[in-house]
Amino acid sequence: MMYVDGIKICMDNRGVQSFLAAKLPLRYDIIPSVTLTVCFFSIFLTKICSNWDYSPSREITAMIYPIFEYLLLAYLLADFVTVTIAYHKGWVSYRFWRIFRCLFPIMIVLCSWFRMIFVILAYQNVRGHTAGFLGLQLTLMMVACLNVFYISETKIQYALLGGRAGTLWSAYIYLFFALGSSVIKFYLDAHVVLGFSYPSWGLVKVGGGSMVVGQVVDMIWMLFNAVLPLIIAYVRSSEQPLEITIDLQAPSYALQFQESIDDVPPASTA
Amino acid sequence: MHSTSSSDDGTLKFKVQPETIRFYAYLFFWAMAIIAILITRLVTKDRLLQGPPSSSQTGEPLSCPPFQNGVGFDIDTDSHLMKAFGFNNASIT
Repeated sequence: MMYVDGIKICMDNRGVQSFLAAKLPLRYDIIPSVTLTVCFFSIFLTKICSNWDYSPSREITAMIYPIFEYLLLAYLLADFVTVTIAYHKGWVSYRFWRIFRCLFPIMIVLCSWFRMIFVILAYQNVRGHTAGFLGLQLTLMMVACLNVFYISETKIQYALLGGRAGTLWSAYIYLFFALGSSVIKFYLDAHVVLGFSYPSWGLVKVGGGSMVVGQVVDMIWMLFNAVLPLIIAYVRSSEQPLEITIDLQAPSYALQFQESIDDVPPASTA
Repeated sequence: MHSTSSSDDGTLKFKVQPETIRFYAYLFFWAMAIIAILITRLVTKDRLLQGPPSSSQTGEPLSCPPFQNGVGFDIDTDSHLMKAFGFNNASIT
């Protein structure tokens, strides 16, 4: 078993092991296995940010990033269409649809501005660099609220969560932690973006350990905004899909051709 | 994510589940994160530790970003976000 700064890697290839051990010189011991296990809670929730701040990692990550961005924008658009149709069918209230309609363009803009993390370099302008992320943070807060609101309005229920009451309680508990961690994290990060120093209470060690308050908030935020949504989205993907039909009006040349056919008198039969 | 079919009336019909799109969005986010971490561990970390290249004229290390004063730094303990936040912020910035 090899522990590399939080990544747990199990493999039986000694060559790869020695290469990684040389490149990732942290504590490790090896147990033969052919699986590669990544421990999300130890690496992704503690040291993710600076991994795409420097060359060549930044350039390569920026090449993959558009797929994530476009999918997230597509999700927001598809969700908006779903809510609009749900409103017209009477499944959600006018109040909910109006809130969604107002927030939708804001979410689209803030989500697309997240790309600024690759434009404004962390080592040249930390404030501008982090500002792009704050926008995404706001978008994710709005998405969490609107999704819970939607579940509440449409009376969706999952047997997995114990029916209607269980689904509602689960949604509200999730929203409580997601919003709570987001608000605290937003407050802490906004200090840096606005040019203030990071709040001192965010750097207080927790329980005498090596982690500080800000890191604990980050971990909780990542859990509720980047890990659980993946699972929630998978579970909710069983809901009824949108059925989209695309049609095309006949172009002028096709209409003229049709008219010319219609003008031809039917052949007389002698 | 969706199924596509063209019907007899010449229209294109397909099904889209928004949550499935969100699932793939998060999947690609984590793929992006994994790739960034691997590249950083295997390539970037060493480069940053080595510091900037030396000047061809003076032979002294160049002081160009992200390096300061011509010396390298450890991304785990001395990154620019660490200086700003006091720790390696776990935000996805």
